[in-house]
Amino acid sequence: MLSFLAGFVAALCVAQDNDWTIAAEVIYPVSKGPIENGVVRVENGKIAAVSKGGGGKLECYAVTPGFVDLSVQIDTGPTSVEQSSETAVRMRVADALDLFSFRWERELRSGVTTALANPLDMDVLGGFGVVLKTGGAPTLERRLLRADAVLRGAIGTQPSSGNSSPRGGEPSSFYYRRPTTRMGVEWVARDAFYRALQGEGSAEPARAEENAILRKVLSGETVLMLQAKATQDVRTALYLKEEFGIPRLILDHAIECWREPEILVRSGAAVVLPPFQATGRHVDGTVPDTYFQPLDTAKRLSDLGVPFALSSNGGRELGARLADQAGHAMRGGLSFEAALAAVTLVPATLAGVAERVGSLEVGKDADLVLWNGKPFEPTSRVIGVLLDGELVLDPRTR
Amino acid sequence: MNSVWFAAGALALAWNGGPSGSGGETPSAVPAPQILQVRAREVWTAAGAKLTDGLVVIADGKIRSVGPASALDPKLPHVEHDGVLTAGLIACGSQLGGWSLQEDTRAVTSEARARLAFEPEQRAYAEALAAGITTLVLTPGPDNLVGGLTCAVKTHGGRVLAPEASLALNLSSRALGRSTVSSGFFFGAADEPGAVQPDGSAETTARTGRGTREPTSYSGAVTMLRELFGRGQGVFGRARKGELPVVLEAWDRHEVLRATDLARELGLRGAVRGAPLAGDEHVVAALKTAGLGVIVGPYGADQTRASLESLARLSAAGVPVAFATGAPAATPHDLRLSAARALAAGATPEAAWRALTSDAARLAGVGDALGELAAGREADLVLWSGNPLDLTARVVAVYVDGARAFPAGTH
Repeated sequence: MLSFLAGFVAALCVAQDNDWTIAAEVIYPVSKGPIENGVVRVENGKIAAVSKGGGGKLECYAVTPGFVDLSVQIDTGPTSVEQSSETAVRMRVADALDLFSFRWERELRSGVTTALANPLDMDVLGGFGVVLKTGGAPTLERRLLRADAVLRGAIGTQPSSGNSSPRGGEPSSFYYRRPTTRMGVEWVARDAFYRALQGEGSAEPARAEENAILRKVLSGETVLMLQAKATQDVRTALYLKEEFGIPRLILDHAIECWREPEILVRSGAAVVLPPFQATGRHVDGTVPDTYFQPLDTAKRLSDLGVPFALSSNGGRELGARLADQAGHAMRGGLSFEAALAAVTLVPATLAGVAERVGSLEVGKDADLVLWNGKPFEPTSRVIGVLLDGELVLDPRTR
Repeated sequence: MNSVWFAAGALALAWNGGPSGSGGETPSAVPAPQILQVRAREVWTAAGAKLTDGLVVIADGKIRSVGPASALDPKLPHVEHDGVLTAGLIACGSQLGGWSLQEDTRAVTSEARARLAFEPEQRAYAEALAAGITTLVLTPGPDNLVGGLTCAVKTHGGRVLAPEASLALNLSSRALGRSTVSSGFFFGAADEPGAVQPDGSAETTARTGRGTREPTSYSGAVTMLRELFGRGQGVFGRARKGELPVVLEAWDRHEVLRATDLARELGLRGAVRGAPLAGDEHVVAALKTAGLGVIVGPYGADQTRASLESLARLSAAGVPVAFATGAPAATPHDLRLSAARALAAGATPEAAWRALTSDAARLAGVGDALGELAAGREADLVLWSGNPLDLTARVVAVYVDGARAFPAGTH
């Protein structure tokens, strides 16, 4: 680890002069059309210019913005989510992260420069997620992009897993509680919002704080992000949105959202798709937790006009990284432009950090991905990464 | 009945006819001070400060003077030692007290006081004494988010030096462990290598007694502490005002940074306990910024090099370091072993010695009274056969509060 750190420090020393000119055959700013034979100029960690013209300190085939992954799944395990309550609304996953984990580095080197970290989905409402840069000194101070970016919850079976009914035994832990079923999960979520509306229990400071947070979700000030995998969970989440008039809802891991196009469009919710799997089967009602996401899912959402982002879910296998998901989605019919946006500007916008990242625009953070060929093609790969103008993966050594 | 009277009579006899101090004190209205002079071939007064053929004069349990052996008054009681004389060693963390300290029914036992679990008759104290350790810190509720008040005690004589030395907090997974669900239930959880438990074993989240205590998460722990310190009642208010230092247990590097962030946010001073990788550049920077010291060790045979190098890196950055002992589960000699291993990994002898004495005294909250041989300080002395940082040197004698405590028997 130390030798790795030493190497990292050495790399930083080489790149101490953080001003770069990167020349590429194509530059994809995302915010506008591609620029052929273009350069990106980086000064003091920010993008200083994106224009035509050749010749640069670094050269590559293509430049895209750094990727944004809204479901990165880098956490400290069960210790990232408070289990003493199913509605741990006040908790912040920012207080539970391991920024020393090598998985951040792995994401960074694959081109993911911004990530939304969430608590593990063991609570109905598990607390606030946080948007971070994936590199730099492993401190919140350095990496924080947006605190309290979303309030995270889960609809489905996961929060009920591990809970038991007290039936037939003496409760010996707080896991003898609701929910133990999907119905119970929805009940707990609805109950929390209902009580927030009523201001119930607000004499107690902790409850008052929880209610205030939930009212911000109801007013649209805070984004609600719910894990909803199966078709019925997607429906349940969208019904909750409609019942309470929750303005901003993101469905995460919405693997079967394509089965409910009508209600999805009507609800105005956004979607984060999980990685495409090599295996999987149609859910025919007999295997409730085995889901299927056809390759054309992203194309369908695009055609419907549903805002969506792709995600890697922290995938490690070959072909499971975020950049690979864009390629899979294109294989399913999604356009290159939409695929690129689904890993950059769309997730940045959904997470409320588009002012800083997500596209190549003057003044934005210099988070860049350098490619040796056309992005997302099977024969192309990421050969360089800049984070805030620092060269963290050097194309000259690749 | 007779035998009882007989025993009482013998006791009275001993009481009246006990040996008066050797030497030639003359009786007077004000009792003459109890004087002891200790002369040694080498006297380590402080880290890096040595006197050749030096003399420490003790009066009534305190050091009266430290100087050259020429000041020795042969008419007064004295000891001559052909070896090294140093201050007593201080272990900032210890498991002494054992089960008496394990009040883990609740995560917050802020009013628990370790001094009430101090049982000086335990053999472990005598063993620590024989290893040259004269002062130890006891930590209540070691697996609790808020354990309570630590205390600094002498290993001989049963004296509690600092009954409320610090407030013990635990931000490590150990404080969450009793309530954590086995990660086997959930995909993607805790699957990365490298997470190391204090005992060096791989991290596991499978526990018994799950779901019986909050918090179960780091976020829950931080939220609870913010609330407790925010309300500022009792010990929490005292800690925020700087009247009471804290000892924050944290092992993995992310735990240490969480602890230093929290200390900065709440304005707490004190030390981090644990931190096997305290020498990591980011951890060093965080400790320095937060103004916290660190209590590391004990270093066993399986300690990684990165751990062993911590002392050198921390001392170079000016962060005070002290050692913990694994006694009584391990031998109390592990305290000196830790220093020797850190020394072998690049620490200076001065830094290693400070960690055993003066820095340890500071972090134990008794920095004014102990840790160096200087006039006015408590007379806790160790006579070594050679250089105490050399593990072949052994403890010849130990004095606590000016009286010989090891080997047992009168002077």
